[in-house]
Order: sequence, then structure tokens, then C-alpha cells
Amino acid sequence: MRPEVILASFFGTVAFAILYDIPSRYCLVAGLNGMTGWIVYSLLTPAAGEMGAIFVSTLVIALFSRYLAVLMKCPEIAFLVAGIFPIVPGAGIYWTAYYLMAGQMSQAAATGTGALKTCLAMVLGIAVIHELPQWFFSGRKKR
Amino acid sequence: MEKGNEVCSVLLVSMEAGKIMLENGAEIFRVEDTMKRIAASFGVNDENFFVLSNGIFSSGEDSEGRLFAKVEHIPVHGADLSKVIAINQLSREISQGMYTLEEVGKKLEDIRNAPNRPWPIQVFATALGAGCFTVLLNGNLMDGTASFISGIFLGFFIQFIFKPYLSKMTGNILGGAVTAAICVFFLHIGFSSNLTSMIGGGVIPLVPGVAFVNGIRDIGDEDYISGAVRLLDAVLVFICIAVGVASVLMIYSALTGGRVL
Repeated sequence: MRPEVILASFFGTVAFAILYDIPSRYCLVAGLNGMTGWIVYSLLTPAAGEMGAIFVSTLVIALFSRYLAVLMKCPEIAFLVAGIFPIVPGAGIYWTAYYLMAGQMSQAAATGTGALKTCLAMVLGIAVIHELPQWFFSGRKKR
Repeated sequence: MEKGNEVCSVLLVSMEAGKIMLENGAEIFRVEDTMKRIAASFGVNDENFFVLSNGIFSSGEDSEGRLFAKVEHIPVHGADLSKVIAINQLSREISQGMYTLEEVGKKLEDIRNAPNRPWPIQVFATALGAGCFTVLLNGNLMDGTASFISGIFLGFFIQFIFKPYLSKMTGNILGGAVTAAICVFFLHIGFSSNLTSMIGGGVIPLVPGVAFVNGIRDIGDEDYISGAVRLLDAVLVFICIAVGVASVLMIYSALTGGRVL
């Protein structure tokens, strides 16, 4: 993995934390969260495939977000939205729309199903972490 | 204060809080939760809140059986998570009994009018985001630099033309066109070579990330209507951006001959 890519995932996440007006004291933590998610994603992609890698990295990001939410007394969404941004298939969905415009249907179908699968994996990952009870996080804080 | 008015003003205050949260990109369950918490800490327990992605319905009844009901329409709006965080914090303090109803009303007013970050920072963040995502999408450092520069233009466009004057659709079409035009320029002069990464990263600041992630979360929380509406909103924005980019690329390939992508 190229080092500039890791830096890019960190600063990219921070940039979006700033754009979404997340208070400054949370921005760097959100950046670390995004960077961790991206590293997990790119390490796992060769072994587990696109969908598996997205699922596991979503798990990691959502878990961190909930833990950080308790630790820093702030809604988890501040960390989740920014942290998950690097693996959101934004570009995938966008290219699907572009290929549809340009009339390249087979490419549209390929990128579209890819983006849809990614979204499904993210829904599953977020839902799994959401089901964990709150004491799981607040208990760890007290220890 | 008379008891009947009390219930009414408690519900009004919690609706105001819910409205600010929903406008600025909170999930449905969090909005409902916060509204209930605020109402409960002022002693109103027989209320009902029904929250959709673009509206809040609430009703309550006081001890003498007088009914209160209010519906508020909330247009799908931008994302300002600092306001969501501030209200979440406020609701914790309210449930510790730190404020009277009037103080809460004033605090909400303050949160609503809190300024955003100054525009140079926002423009810089737009450019930084565009550059970084180009690198993430397999671009090299030259592509990232080109995208950073196109992000500066996009940032100025968003701050001074899109936000004050344009509708969501026009703004995203033009935003996509601006980005594509600048990226095509860098390709044309030979500064960078990977147009796919440049444009993919360059338009990322326009992408409605909060709406998209919230849509996914709402569906995960079984708020299917709101989740579907938010995802649809996000997909429409994607299509608008693609229209803008595609038209510029088609003009370019018509001018120079041959396909670009």
C-alpha cells in the first residue's frame, strides 16, 4: 500500500469532517477512524473480495464510532459519517449514472451492481453494530 | 403558567429541537429520541411524535383533556452536524434539569443561528477532499494536484454561487460541469493523465454523504420511508452531477474528435 494513499484517506476524511461542520475537536479523531477503515478495507480486499472487505471495515468503523461516541460524549454520527466516507461507493454510484447518460449500458450494469453490493454490505455492517447493547460500550469506558 | 399552556409550549420547544436536528442531518430515531427526552424532562409523557425525513407530526394531551397537535414540513436540507451535536448535548443537560423552558427556547435560537466555519476554510476543505479522494481512487500525485486545483474552483462555486442562488439540481449539474471542465483542461495540457480518477475524486465534495449514510442507517433502523427518500435524494444528486460531467466530456470529444472515456 502506497503511503500517500493512507495519508490521503486521513486528510480526505478530515476534509469532509470540516465540510459537514463537525466541531474541530472531533475532526482529527474522525480522520483516524476513516484511515483505519480504509486500511482494513484495502488489506482485506485481495483476500475477502470487495463485499467482504467493505463489510468488515464498516464493522470496524461503526464499532469505533460507537466507542468514541461514549468516550467523547457526542453522537456517533459525527464519527460514522466522516469515517465511512472513504469506503462509500460515491464514485461507483456516480460512474453508474455517468455510464447511463453516455449509453454504455454494460458498464453501467457492472458498476451499478458493484455499488449496490457495497451498499448492502454497509447496511449489514452498520445494522450489526447497531444491535450491540449500549452497556457493551459504556461498560468498557468505566473499566 | 397555566398547565394547558405548559404542555403546548413544551411540545413546541421539543419540536423546534427536532426540526433543527432533522434539517441538519440527524437520523430519524435520534430525532424522535431527543424530542421524547426533552418532553419527558419537562413532565410531558403522553405525547406522540412521528418523524419522517421531511416532516414532524406531534400531538399531546394535557391533564384537562385539551389536545395539542402540530405538523411541520421540513425540506431536505444541507448537513451541519455541529448543530446536531449541540442539540444532543443540550438535551442531556435538559434531562439533568439544568434549564427552564424559556432558557431552552433561547439556547435553541442560539444553536440555530450559530455561524458556520469561515468560507476560506470551507473552500480549502473542498479542495483537500477532492485531491485526497482522487488519490484514493487510484490517481497519482499529479492527478491529485490537478483535482485539488479543480476543487478550489468548485469550492468557490459552491460558496458563492451554488449555496446562495441555485437550486439543488442546477447547482449540482453546473458543479459537475465546472469540475469536468477543469479536469479536462489539465488532461489537455498534459499535466495529468487519469481522467477517471480526477473527475471521480473531483466531484466527491458535491456528493451528499450525510444523506446517503443516514439513508442506510434509517433503513437499518427500520425507518424505511425516510431511508428510501434520503437514498433517492442522494441518487438524484448523483444523476445531476453525471449530467454536468457528461455534457462537458461530450462537448470536449466533439471539439477534439474521438472519445475521452
